[in-house]
Amino acid sequence: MFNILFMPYRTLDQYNQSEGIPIVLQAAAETAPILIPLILFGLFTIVMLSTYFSQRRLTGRGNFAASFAVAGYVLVIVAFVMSLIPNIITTTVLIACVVISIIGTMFLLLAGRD
Amino acid sequence: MNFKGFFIGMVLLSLFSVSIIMFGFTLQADNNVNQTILDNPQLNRTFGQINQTIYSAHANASGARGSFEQEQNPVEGVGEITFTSITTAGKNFGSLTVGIMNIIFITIQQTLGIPPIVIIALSTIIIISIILLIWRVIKAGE
Repeated sequence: MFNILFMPYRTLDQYNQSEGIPIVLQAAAETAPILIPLILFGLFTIVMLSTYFSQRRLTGRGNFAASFAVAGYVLVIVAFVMSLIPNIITTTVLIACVVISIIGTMFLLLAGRD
Repeated sequence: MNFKGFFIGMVLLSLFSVSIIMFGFTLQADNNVNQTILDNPQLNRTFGQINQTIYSAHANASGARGSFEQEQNPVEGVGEITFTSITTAGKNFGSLTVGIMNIIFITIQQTLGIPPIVIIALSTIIIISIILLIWRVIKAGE
């Protein structure tokens, strides 16, 4: 039981390093499965808040629905690019990104009008 | 938000959803990903249903336009002035607009290689807008 709970991490030399940089990402994602969702969440938050406050600073009024939708599109594009590398992102996380993007579009088209 | 705005929003939402899913699927299929996004049964079913809904919305909009044009002109009430000529003119111009739109859209689709679902979604929006605009002409003369 303790062997299962305290399994040693695989180090980089245990991977086939001839495959290049993706191995580093795969190793990190395998060691900490929450890493990729956290990166995507951070990206989504940064894009959404930066576009919102930038728009508010430039025009005096921010459109939160538009910022949410744009951040959703950025999120889904990055998630799809990550899905091209095997074992980086799970299908569940990918579908969650698609759903967030669709919610952003819905927010923009149906509720974001002045 | 009025009915027209809401309807257009819903059709554009379904079009965006299909586009996002198709973008991901195409990107993954072109790069030989083992398990594409459409291999997920739930997303695959949703994608198919959205496609089907857009096509049926177009058929319903076309049917609604046919019914609208076949309806009899409004009858004058007491103390009310109705110009039946403007009703007929509105219906005729509506048919003309849809006919021109179909010809132009087919040309654009074939020239630029746009997927049929995009044209069908836009066509649905325009048909519903035309019906509501003609109704506004008949009702308020605007």
